[in-house]
Amino acid sequence: MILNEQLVCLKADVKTAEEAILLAAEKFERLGYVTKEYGQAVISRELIYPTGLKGNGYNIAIPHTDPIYVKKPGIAVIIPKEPVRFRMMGTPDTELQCEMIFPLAMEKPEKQLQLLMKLMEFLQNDKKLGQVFHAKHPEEVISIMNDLEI
Amino acid sequence: MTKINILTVCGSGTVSSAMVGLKIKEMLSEHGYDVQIHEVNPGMVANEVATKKIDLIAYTSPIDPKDAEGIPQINAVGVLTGMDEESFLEEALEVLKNRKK
Repeated sequence: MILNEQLVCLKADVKTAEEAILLAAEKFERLGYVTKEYGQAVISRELIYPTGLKGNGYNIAIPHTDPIYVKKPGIAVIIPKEPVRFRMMGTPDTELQCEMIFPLAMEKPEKQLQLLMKLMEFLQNDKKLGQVFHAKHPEEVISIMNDLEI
Repeated sequence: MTKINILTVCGSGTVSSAMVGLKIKEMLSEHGYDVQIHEVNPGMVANEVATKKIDLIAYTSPIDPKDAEGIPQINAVGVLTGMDEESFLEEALEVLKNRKK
């Protein structure tokens, strides 16, 4: 399953991009989604190719890394207590305060074009992002993002 | 439909480049282009350009413009977020029109 309540962390006590990524990596690894190198690989990649995205109402980040560290696809959801600083994709000099972080465990794109299409639609949907942001329980988040479970 | 090759570039050559690739393919097909998308990371750009006829490069992570001199390069982060698809499309259509076949 792409989504899992155990991959959702609301009011996360993380202050940096690195902490957020490691929190997700620990969950991903424990549930068999990724290898143990995943966390560091994502952190390293984020330093060179940041994944902060500026939306209409919310800023988000989609940290991820190469498919070799991924055993099965999944999406984690980290809603930090306070927005976390990520640098902007394509414009690394710009910093964004991200209210929501969606660490991704993605396999080779050809295997999951449908999922990627749905993910992009979700990330562009301000209404859904708002619902996730205000969710009180992980089950709510899973339900809102249910479309992605193809 | 005019067949064209577009290189999409992101840090890992997978997620973001695949996502914008899908969107660009959809947008341009409405304008009569049959798009073949090639997803790569910035380190692969020079090689792709040397071995394929690339008509346009859409990037979400910065690339070295020297790796692909003469080939139109457009920032596609706005396509990924959906915040700026129109200006990408405008620019893409413009450069594709001017591209010598």
